Amino acid sequence: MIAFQRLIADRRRGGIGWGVGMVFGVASTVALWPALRDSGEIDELVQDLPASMRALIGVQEGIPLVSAPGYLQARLFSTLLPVLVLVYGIGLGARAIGGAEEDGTLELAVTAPVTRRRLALERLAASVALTLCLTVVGMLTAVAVGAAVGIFDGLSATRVCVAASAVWTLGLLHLAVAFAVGAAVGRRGPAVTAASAIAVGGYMLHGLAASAPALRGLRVLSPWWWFLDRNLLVHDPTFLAMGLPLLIALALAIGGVVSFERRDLRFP
Amino acid sequence: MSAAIVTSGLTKRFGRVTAVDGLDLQVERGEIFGFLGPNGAGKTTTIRLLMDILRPTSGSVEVLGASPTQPATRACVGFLPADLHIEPRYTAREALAFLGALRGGFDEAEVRRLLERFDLDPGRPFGELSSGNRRKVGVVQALAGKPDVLILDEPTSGLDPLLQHELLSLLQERAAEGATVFLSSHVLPEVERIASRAGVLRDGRLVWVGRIHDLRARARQRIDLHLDGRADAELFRDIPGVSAVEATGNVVSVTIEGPVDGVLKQAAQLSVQRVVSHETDLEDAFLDWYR
Repeated sequence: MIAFQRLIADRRRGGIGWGVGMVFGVASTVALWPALRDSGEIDELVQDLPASMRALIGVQEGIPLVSAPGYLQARLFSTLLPVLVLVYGIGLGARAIGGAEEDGTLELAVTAPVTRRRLALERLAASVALTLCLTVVGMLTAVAVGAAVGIFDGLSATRVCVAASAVWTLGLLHLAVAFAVGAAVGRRGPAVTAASAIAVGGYMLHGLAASAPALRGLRVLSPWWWFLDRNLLVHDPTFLAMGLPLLIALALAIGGVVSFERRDLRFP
Repeated sequence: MSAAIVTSGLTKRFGRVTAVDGLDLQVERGEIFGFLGPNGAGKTTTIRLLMDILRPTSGSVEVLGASPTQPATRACVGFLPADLHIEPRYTAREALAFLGALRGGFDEAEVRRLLERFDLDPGRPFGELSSGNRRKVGVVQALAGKPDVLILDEPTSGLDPLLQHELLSLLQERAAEGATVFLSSHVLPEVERIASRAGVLRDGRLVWVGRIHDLRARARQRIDLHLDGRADAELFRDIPGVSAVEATGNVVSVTIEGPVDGVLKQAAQLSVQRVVSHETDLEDAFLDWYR
């Protein structure tokens, strides 16, 4: 596990920065809930928004925005948490092979007595673990601050953990895209571009499909829809939200490792 | 016992470009083999094929009788790439610890000996090192595991003459202990100094392979003789091996193929103030191959 440990150590400083950002972002978001809960007009305001806007900010029919699940879904689980986890995960996935091949730092590792498969798997595992850490930091912050502001009167902390797990699987899916493209082409740029395009495209599709009936059939292609269609703070987790992203991530990871094993490496 | 390195019909194409073309090479155990060619001749591509960074389009590679795709094969090889890239914030010590760990751990006493020999401070981040010091880190990591085979891509480039000398001596010591050294270069002198055999590459093809003594006999070199008085080109024109003579003022420039013995004997009869020898690059040294 030398390559695993090394990558964790390499990313430690950056990871701490992300963790601090996550704590501040989540804590300040959750801490604002009591203020919103006590102002009655927000829900009326939201009802006046177009359907696609409501979908993009994570509002769901039948769940008031000022309720704990409504607020957390809109402010945390539809926006802040997945955005941080996705951006962090895409960066890690793209650098695991693509970035390290492009800058040449992988050259002495692949010529060492380690198989390419092992090297790629260890670097992928380290990236996955770091993404998990960031998600857990966000989740624990939400639970701790939520408890302090009384958000768990009528909402179980378990639901928050389940929803955070779904954020992680969404993050893994995008990390796996970046990893697979990077491992297949040995460059960081295309890996980031592909994963970001899927993230942004999926997000827009999810929002637009809510107001454009012509697009409704296509929303099934959006990983954001899989995750956000049912508010996991109220409903039980679905295969679409938890299982499918993991399966796709697994397939992408296998594809990435296999192509990395087979191809010529392009060091500077 | 199998040879240290064997390539048979080794070919590598990138699209329509053939970088290495039907290379048949055999390097025996314990020898120092110089792999010569100008930049772009295919030296680095060949070395990357030897290290399993690239896969052959056709033909085969064997190192110590096995394929370099096997980690066990690479465990016996110390490798120095042409351009060394290490995370800039690693110190040399951290980089060596990591690379050693991937190889089951370097002998710390050996690492210390090498660091002292090359006068390298292991505590500074790689990104802050001069290019010469970076090269030293590369040399130390390649040699620290005391590998059976050393594959070094232009090992002396970026090193000052003193350190070049130190490295070449070290390689000779390692060869005397039984290690095989395969080193590439685009200049003749360093290979000439330590290699027993050499191969010459042009456009991905091996144009010559043989003993270094025979290579030396074919190499052209140019020396300038600064005389005390007017130079006369005619005095040198008929000496065996001389292919061109030019006289300007007090200086006579002589281009010789093979031994310079005859020219020096002739010069000894004149009053020579200074002798300047030019380090010719391969294209000039071997006109027949590179014209």
